[in-house]
Amino acid sequence: MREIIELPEEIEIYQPKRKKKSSEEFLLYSEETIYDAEVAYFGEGYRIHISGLTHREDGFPTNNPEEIKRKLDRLKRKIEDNKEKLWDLEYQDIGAEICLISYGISARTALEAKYIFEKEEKKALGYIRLKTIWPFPDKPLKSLLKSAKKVIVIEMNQGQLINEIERAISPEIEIVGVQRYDGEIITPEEILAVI
Amino acid sequence: MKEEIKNYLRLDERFPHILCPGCGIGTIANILVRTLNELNLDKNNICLVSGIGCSSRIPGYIDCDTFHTLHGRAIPCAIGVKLAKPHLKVIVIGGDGDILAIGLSHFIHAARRNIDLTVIIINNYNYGMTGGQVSPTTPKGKFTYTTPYSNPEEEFDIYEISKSAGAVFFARSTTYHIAHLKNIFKKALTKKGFSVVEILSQCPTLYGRLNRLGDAVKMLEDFKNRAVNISHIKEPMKIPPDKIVIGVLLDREREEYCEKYEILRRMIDEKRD
Repeated sequence: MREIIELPEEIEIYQPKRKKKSSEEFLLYSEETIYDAEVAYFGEGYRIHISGLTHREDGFPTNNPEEIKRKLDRLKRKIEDNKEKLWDLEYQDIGAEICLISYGISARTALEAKYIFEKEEKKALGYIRLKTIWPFPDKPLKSLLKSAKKVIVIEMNQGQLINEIERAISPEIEIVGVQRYDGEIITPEEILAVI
Repeated sequence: MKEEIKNYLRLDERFPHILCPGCGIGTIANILVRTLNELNLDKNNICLVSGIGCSSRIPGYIDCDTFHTLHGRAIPCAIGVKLAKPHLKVIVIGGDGDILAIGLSHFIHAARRNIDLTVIIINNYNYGMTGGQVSPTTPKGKFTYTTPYSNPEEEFDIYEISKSAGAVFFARSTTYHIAHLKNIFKKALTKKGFSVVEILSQCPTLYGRLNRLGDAVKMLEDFKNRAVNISHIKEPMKIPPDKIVIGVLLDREREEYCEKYEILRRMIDEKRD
């Protein structure tokens, strides 16, 4: 551990809508209630079946290709239709010419690199940390990087997201990747070396 | 079929079942349902949890809260159900491949904690659903599709594992001894703590065919001929190795986990106030 975290005093607990229908009418995965589904719990008389297999609206397994496709389309639609609510990123000094983009553990290294750069160079360095990579926040990235000239994508792999970022932002922006996948974490110096 | 038995089944659309002709799993499901009925357990207060495999399909046919989880993960899911709702009767059903191979560490740790679950292990000596592969309970020298030149490994002794891990109850029966099995189920379901029931079952489609054991009836006859009831054994050291010891092999008392957990929770609550 290199850093400490702070926990909030109060954490909001989301209570799902409790089910009201009788056990005969109740469908555990009803397609009608796609976003605000009613839930039933064990031991409340609904005698539900929960399965890890692909299942129908009532929870029982199915091998019917049509039903399976409809289920998976529904699951994806839940994400795609709400991507604007799900997109989550953290950013600082967006107006700067150069911007660091990272996610996961290397985002902390990027932040440290930003502090070192700003102390030494006396000018701001942009920083974006992606908290969601699917759904990919292409629209917010494009608008955040409107005035950027150069983007450095820092990743703890062989570059899984750099092409996705390149696709989302203006083609005039120069894009450089810093990648590491040898068991060690990226250091701030490695990022500073490519700025 | 008796009305009160029908009451425990999802008859309307779950049947016919997926089991092969001659399979022993149906017999076990049948006896389990009859036991639930005879013990007068409310179906709204029963939760059946299973993993993946032929035997793990049983909960789908029984009308109570049922949880068909990932391969080998029936026991951890059942622990979650039990801790959240301690008043439920939580029963785990699984095969030898599910509970004793991929799920073995969960089995051992649940026994160590002595959480109030009844674990029913249906031992048919091979992985039936995936096509007859060798399992941890395939006897040495027997044939499966992945041991075509006979199995060189020693099989697990489920009783010894349960005993050393900390289970409070262990009993063994077979699909031949149905009256005996019902009796065993009753004892296991009323025992507080981690209780294990091993049921030897026939898989005539794969294990039986590959080992030339004959049809389901022949395999049941084999169980009948080889079974020795523990209560009839005077000198345990002299049981021939080809015999199957049936009956209650272990019945002891240990502190139950949910109760210990509740005491701990109350203690912390009091300190906070």
